[in-house]
Amino acid sequence: MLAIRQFQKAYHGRVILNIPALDFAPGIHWIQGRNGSGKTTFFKSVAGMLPFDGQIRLDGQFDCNRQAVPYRMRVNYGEAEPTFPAFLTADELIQWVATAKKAPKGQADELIETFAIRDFMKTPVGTYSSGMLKKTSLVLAFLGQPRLILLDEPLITLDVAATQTVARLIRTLSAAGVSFLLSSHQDFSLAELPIASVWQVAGQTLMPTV
Amino acid sequence: MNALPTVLRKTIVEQFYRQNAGLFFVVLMLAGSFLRAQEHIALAEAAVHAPFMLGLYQVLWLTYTLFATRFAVGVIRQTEVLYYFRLVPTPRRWLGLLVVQFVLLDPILLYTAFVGWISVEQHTGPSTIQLIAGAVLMLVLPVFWLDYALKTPNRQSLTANVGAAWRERFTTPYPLFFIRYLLSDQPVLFFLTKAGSVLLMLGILNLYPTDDYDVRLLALGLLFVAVSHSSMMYHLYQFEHERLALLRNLPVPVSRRLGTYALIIALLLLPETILLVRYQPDDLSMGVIASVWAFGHSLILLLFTLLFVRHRQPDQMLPVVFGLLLVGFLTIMYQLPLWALSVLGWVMATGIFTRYYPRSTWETASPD
Repeated sequence: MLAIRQFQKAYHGRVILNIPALDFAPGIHWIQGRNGSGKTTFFKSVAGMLPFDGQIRLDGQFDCNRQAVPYRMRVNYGEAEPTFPAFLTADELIQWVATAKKAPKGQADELIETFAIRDFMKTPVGTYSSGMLKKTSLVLAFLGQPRLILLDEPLITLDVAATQTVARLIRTLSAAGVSFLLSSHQDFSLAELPIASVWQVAGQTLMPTV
Repeated sequence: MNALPTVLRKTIVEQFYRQNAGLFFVVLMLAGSFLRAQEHIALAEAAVHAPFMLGLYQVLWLTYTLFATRFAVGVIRQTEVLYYFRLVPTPRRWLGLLVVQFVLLDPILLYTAFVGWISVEQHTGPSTIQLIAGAVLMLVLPVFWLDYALKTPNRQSLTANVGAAWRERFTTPYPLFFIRYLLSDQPVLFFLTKAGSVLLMLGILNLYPTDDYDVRLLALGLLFVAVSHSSMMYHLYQFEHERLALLRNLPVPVSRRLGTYALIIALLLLPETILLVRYQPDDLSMGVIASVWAFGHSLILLLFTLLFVRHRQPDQMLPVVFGLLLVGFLTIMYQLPLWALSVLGWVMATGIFTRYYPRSTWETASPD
């Protein structure tokens, strides 16, 4: 599903991640790692939000850099700590991303109901609690028809009901053929998911855990 | 509590001067090139003898004070850790805030001192008192505002109801995100830049018919307009990095991204465009006026795309802005056709953006 070759990411000349070759099969993959190990850097690189050296290819045909538009149409990202312009509303953000990702008609509404965010749709995000912000960010991450969804710490700041909603959505979409890369320090809900593999970010690379 | 001055300096003072380096550069350039030292002295001598004129000086300084203080208030509202300073005993907290205000106001306090020195030399006592009183008020009154900001996190805005009604009816399209950001988060920068730019254009368009000027005068005006927008362009670059990081994950072709930035710049230039059309000189056709506009637009777009070549702090952009000013000035003086210069600017901006945007990053980021 996702092939990574000669991947290297450095900040100010300091190498953070160096992955010679790595393949993710279709399914749900759990990326673990200590704070500062480079998980978010890895996720943002795969999402096409950070430049990197090397190659990231989806489904054998969509290169992150060479087929930038079709690749991004198929890869979605949910930030660990989302930040949006404080004056925009969830409605404005969702409409913006839904249009860009060519979300099917009615999908945004369905996700708004699923995450129960309709009550604050027209309120500026600057007034949101961290949980409300996270739910908005998750709605954005599920918009469109992605083949791969990257969820960086999807459960932090969420209430129990929302946590179960996320797990249920992941299970449903995974059954429909969507792959996931998840990073989480919490394993209570993710353990219920059909995790295909678990990876550890350490020593500037990704290694499968035993 | 040694942390107080250090944290306030790093979060407010250093950020203020860094983020507004472009604006200071333009002001210094205008004040140092259009007005020579003798003219500053002559104007100050006239002002200390005319309370109204001195008042105009003070209105200008008051505008700067509002600009600087609003920036500091904005930092306090966005930096939750600063709310801990409420716990610092009031005299120490006030002293810390007073020092912040003093350093933020250094540029105008220095100029006040210069005018005050002229006033003392001219033996104009009332003007000296007016200057001292103004400086003290501009120094002390904003401290109440800063302290209020520290004490009132998540304050309910007075315009909240109006905003709610607006949000119910309208949705902001992406090209207007940045303009809304300027209006809500950087209103003083926005209005100062636009006011300065509009006044400059008005002055030039009124000056044009008074002598044997040609289109180069208008082109020079647009060159200065473009340079005065450098700070705003940096804010656009920073805004999209800090608040719209998801933008890079969206499936939008590079060409459309650049087109949207060109549209945003055209929207920002709307007041100048209206002035050019409204006060179109009789001897210049609309085509020539359009070439003047295109020249300014292409310069701003080029300035913006240069931000993606390598991540720089605002103060590190000064040589780039100065270089563009110099090259623009020379090309105007050598009477190179404005349409050709505009097309060249757009082509260069397109080349730079296409090549560097996908590889660009805000390099101060640290790994997680």
